[in-house]
Amino acid sequence: MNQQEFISQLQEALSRLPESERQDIVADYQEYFRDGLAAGRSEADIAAALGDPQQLARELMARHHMARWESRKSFGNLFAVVGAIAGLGFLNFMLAIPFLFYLWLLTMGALASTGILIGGVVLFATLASNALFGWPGIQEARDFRTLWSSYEQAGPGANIHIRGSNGEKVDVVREASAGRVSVHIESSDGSLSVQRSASEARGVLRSVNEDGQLDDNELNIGISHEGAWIAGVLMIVLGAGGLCLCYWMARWTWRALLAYGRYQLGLLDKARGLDG
Amino acid sequence: MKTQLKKGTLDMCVLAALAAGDSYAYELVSILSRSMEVSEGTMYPLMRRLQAEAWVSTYLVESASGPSRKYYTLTAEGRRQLVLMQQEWQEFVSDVNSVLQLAAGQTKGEAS
Repeated sequence: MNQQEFISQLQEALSRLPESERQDIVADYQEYFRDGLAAGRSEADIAAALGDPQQLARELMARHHMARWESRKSFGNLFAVVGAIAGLGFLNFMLAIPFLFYLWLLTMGALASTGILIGGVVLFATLASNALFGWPGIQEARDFRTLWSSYEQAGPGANIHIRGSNGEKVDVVREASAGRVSVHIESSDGSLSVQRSASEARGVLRSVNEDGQLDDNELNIGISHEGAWIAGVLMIVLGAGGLCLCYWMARWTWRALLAYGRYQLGLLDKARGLDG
Repeated sequence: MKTQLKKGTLDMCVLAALAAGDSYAYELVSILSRSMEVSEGTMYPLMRRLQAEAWVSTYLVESASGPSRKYYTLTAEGRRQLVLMQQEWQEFVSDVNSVLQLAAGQTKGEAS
């Protein structure tokens, strides 16, 4: 291998390094070749003494990624470190696949926890703000219940039937015997009915139009105020707990990964042979 | 054992060579290889490691013929580190020597 080949192979293998860093490294080796040639050695002799440029580049890349990872811990940098270590050898490459899957799971866990935490905080803050300042107003499904109860209180004879000129219908019907109350709205386009059975919280929503029919038999008429508070607190606890766990696992993983990377680079130092 | 021992001490040797005066890579290899075997391939990764530790810094010197040359110089931290390494080395050597002398004395004692 002559100087030209050595340098171009090195350049090629370092193509993913920042331009300035690559040029710095290449300039180092060019300088070494110049000095060696000035001392009367052949290009092939110097290239052989310097070692395999591919392997040299892999090591430089791994060091570069690890240094960057240590200065800024982003997921992008982390994946670069894993990739660089994987590039150091076949076994490392095989180990990288389950490791990347594990990292992916960890990422998903962290994202889900963050989402739950944010949701909980928003819910909690909204409820707290509403309780303290009356803002923002919370549109509770309670209005709907109020409708039922006030209607129920109006007595059995209080059914309402409204008929439009084009066949539109609005019916509010109470069936006292079945403990059932329903609102039925119908026009030429279709119909919408809401029915509450004897059970308190569940309702049935049925929407019919020319496209078909939609039934929701588990219509939950809003969660109660207390339920919302509990849900908010639970979400905060769950989200924060999940995040802490992910953070702790991530820290542990970072350390293990860096230690493993250093160990692998140490092996390279040895493998290259310090005795020449 | 020999390789392990050398790996640890190579850093110290390079720092010591630089303590005598600023130098460039090829010259450093020449200086070291006068008294020990050094792989030329290790030189740049090693210098980069020393730089990363901030024991060594670099500067460029324009040369009359061709491009500039990169010189390495010890930082204050590098000097401190060198003193520390030398102390450890001396302690290690004297420990090993006293064990060797003791062993040699015993062998002599048994022989007589």
